[in-house]
Amino acid sequence: MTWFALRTRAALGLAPTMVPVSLYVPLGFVLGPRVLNVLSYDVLAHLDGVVSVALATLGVFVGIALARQARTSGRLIAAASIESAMTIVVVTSAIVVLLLQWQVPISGEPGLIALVLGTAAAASSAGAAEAGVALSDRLALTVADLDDLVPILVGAIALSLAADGARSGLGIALAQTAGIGIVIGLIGWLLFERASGPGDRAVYVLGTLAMLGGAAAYVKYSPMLTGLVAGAVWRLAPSRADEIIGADLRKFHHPLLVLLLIDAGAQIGPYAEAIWLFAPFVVFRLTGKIVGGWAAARLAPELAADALGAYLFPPGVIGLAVALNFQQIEATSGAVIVSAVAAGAVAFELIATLAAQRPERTA
Amino acid sequence: MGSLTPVLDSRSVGLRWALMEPAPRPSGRRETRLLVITVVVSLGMLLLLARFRFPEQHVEPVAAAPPLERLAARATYDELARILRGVDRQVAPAILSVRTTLDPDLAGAGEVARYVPAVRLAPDRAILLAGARRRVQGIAGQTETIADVIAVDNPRGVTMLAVPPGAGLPALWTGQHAITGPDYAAVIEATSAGPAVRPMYYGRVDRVTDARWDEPLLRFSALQQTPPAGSAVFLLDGSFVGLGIPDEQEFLVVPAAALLRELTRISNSGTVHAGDLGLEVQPLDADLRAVTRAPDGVVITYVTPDGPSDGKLMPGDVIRQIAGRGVASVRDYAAVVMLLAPDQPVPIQAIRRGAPVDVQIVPVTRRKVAARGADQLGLEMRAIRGGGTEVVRVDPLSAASRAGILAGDVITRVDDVENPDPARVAALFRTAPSGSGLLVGLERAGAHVLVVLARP
Repeated sequence: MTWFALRTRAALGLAPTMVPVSLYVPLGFVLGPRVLNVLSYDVLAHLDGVVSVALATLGVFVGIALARQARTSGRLIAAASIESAMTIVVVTSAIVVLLLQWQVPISGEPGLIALVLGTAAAASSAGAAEAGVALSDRLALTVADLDDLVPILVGAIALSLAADGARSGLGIALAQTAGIGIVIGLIGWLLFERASGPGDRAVYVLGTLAMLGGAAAYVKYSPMLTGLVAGAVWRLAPSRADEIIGADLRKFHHPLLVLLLIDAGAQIGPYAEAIWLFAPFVVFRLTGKIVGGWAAARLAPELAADALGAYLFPPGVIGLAVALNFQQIEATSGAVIVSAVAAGAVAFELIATLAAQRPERTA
Repeated sequence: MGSLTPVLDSRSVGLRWALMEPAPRPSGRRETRLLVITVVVSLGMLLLLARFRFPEQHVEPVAAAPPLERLAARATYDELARILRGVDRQVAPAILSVRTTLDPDLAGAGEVARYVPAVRLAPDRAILLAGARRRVQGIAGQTETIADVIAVDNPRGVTMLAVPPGAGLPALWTGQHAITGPDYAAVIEATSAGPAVRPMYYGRVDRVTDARWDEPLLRFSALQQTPPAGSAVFLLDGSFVGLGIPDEQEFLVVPAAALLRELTRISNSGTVHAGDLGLEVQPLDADLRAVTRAPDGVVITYVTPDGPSDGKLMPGDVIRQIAGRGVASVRDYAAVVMLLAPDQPVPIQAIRRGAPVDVQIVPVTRRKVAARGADQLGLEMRAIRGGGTEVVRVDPLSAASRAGILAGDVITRVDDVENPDPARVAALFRTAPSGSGLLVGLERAGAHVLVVLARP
């Protein structure tokens, strides 16, 4: 179905995106407890564990990709981080002002709610680069691909604050999250090296991912951050651990992403608060991406700010993942945030589909 | 340098990017203009959106069940302690630790202070169940502050305090989700340093009626350890279940909704006095039932001299009804009597040796009954060979009871008189000037104690 969607978009001359959010999120909503009830509340509760593993898997991909690019594309990573940080600042600031002004009856501190929405807005989805596209477009796609680091870090902070409000112990919480990633990463590395065959290795890979997601979720830390750290460990460790896990995970990558999107769609509810938050989420994410693109272009002059902004519009699955992760900790406001972010992601994919041009070919 | 291979691996982009010439790019002025327009439009949108107001009230947060809860092994003591820390943090702003002492007009003095938790149920009002016989003294903290008592509902043992305005009202358990057990709850008890939380295992919860309260109370059974009187009970999600009733054999909890209504009621009515008939009663067992020939009721064990029932009822009578309400147990008796309005005659139906006795008695406030006994020494004593006097019995509400003298104490000194005999003790009390106090030395369980016997 993903292939079909991408082909259709390509045939229409539109920029392909990695994951068709506008397909799977509405599908999840239809299957969810408010329409067909195929994914009932009970089923969704049982999917919590799988969602945590999916979040950790996302983190692993980001960690491996960042560690690969760190040596050669340091400035691009910095530009992407500045872009996502600017988006977080713009969206968080605007929404915290509106939450205080509106007096929306959403549970939790307005600053934390706004921070989660800002973090969910920051990630972008990079399209698969086609052969022959102009280098500036390719660079823009790479920036969109690399802007997940800051959202994952800030998302982990927001999660720690939501979990127990331990602001004084925030550094410790983050260090422990990273520690879990390092330890499990090292365990996984040792296991992969000693696997006697592909079957054993697949079991070790899945077991390691289950540990990453499960351990982080159990102590209410961010599975994405533990996955990111573990992914970086596997990339930086001697031998081919990152390639091994990359090859094995290729089979599960898309199913897990689809699961996340369908789960997010099923969680959408007709909350008045979500409807109120939807408009500022869309408006200020647009602003944030344009401002962030402009700021990133200052650091990397080869990037065209206006084109970059357009490439940054497609919603990242990381944004939905941050919202789902927050909902696992804070059910009431989390449901509202997931609804707003999921609806915003669909809206942004439609905006990106209309706004984005097919990348210019150089030859 | 400017020509690049058209097919690029995305992972080598950075390297290529580092080698390439800068690509032609739109003018910086156009980008800046776009940025400025975007920011201005966004600020305009922000100002426009900020003009709206959401039309509903604040809701309490509901913490989600931790992910993997259904899959992970749980219920370790560490986990329980972690949950209790969360409850403690969540409810701490709503709990005060209040120091209470026995009301000297109603009971014997000498008991140490007892701390009872007060729960903030309105921004500037807190409520506690200290019991009718205790008087609120102060609020514990780094430095104890004086408690500002607004009203007391003596029949129900409820005290309402004025507290500094603050947020942090607890989420109330509404009864929508039934509490059944076996399970754990969080109990907040009061200490001199402030409130403290502990887990309470309960095997089952039943609803029981009580004449003093409009709605059923919750009876927690099969407890590992009964919490102190007046403790505040919370579910592990932080919702407030209610307050434990003091001076009960069982752990009965007044539900939060009933406490909220009580807060409104005594805010409007002010202090409510408890009635008293000047009687002590005990349950009717099979032997007493046979002798008294009463099928049910409670048997009178003591009639306060000069009290409202003196000359109308006597020890051995069995009370079956008070003001038309059946009295099947001592608890029923206490609840019905406390709710009697002082100075309003009530019909009492009793049985004396098998014959019905109907009397009209005018209840008085408990304080008046206490005052009537306060001028009597109230001691039955016997001399000890070799000197001294042993206390055999202490009359309730008497001067000796108020001084904290207990049956079994040995009186070794009264003022300057060492080892007085019973007659000397009674004479010293009788001849002491009104308003003075006698210093009484006691030997109690091998230790020596000094108390003051006040002469009203």
